[in-house]
Amino acid sequence: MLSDRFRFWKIGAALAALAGLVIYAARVGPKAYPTFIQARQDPSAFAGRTIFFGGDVLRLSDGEFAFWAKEGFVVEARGIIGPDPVGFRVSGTAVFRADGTLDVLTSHVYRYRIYKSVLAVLPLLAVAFFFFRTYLFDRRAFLFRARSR
Amino acid sequence: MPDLATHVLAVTPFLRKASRNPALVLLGAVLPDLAGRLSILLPHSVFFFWMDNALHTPVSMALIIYILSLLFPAEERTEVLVGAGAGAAFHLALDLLQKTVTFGNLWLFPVSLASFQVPLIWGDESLFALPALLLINLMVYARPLGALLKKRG
Repeated sequence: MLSDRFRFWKIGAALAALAGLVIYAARVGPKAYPTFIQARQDPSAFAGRTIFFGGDVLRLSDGEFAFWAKEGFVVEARGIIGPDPVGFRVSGTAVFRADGTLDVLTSHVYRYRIYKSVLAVLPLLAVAFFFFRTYLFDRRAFLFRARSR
Repeated sequence: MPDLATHVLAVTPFLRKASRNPALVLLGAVLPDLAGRLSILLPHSVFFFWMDNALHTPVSMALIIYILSLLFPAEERTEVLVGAGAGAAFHLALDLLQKTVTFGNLWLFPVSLASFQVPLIWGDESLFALPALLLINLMVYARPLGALLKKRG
C-alpha cells in the first residue's frame, strides 16, 4: 500500500475516492441539513421548515434584523440574537417563511471571527516556512525530499 | 472550528519530545482547515459548501494524508502517515470541543451524517486561549532555545 508500485494509480484511486465522497456529500447533505440558499430557490417546498442560515448582520430593530448572505442578497429575519450584532457574522437555525423571511430559533453572533481569519495567516505562513525549510519538491520524481543539511 | 493559531500552538508543545519530524505534524495540524476551506477560492454554491464539509472529516483526512504520504520517498511514508496523521487527529480533537448552533463536523461521514460535539467553546472564542498557549510554548521552548542561542553565540 505504501510501496512505489503503482504509485500514481494509488494516488489517482485515492483522489477518485475523495471526489466520490464530495459528490456523495453534495447529494445527501442538503437533504439532511437544508440551508437558506436551498429554501430561497424553492420557497413553497421549504415554507414552515427549519433551515440553517448564516450571514453578516446589517441592521437590527425591534426584534427584526437583516443579514447579508454570502450568496449576495439581504435576508430579513425575526427573533432574538445577541446584543450589538451589527457588522458581525451570525449563524443559526430558523423557520423559513414562504415570503423568504426567517423566524430565528437559535443563533450565535461570531464577534471575533475577523480576528480569527486574520490570525490564520500567521500559522499558515509559519507551517509553510517550516515545511519547505525541511523539504523540497523534486518535480521530476514527483516527490518531496528532505533538504540536505 | 478553533482558529489555526490555536491548532498550531496546541500541538507545538508536544513536538519537542514526541516527534522525529515536527514539520509533518505541523502540516497535519493545519491540513483539515486547508482541505475544508477550499471553497474560499471558489464561487459560493451548495456544492462547494458540502465539498468543504466532506473534506473536513476523519475519512477524507485519512485519504488526503495517504495521498500526501505517496508524495514522499517509500522509506518515509510510514513516518508521514504517523506524523501528519497525529497532527490532523489533534486538530479534529480540538474541533470536537466546539459549540455550534448549526451542525458541527460530520464525524461518521460517509456512514452517517450525524453530527455531534462536546460543546465547550465557540469557534471564534478560541482566540482567548492563545495567551495561555503562548505561555506554555514559552515554558517548553525557552530553555532549549536559550541553550541553542548560547551555543551559537
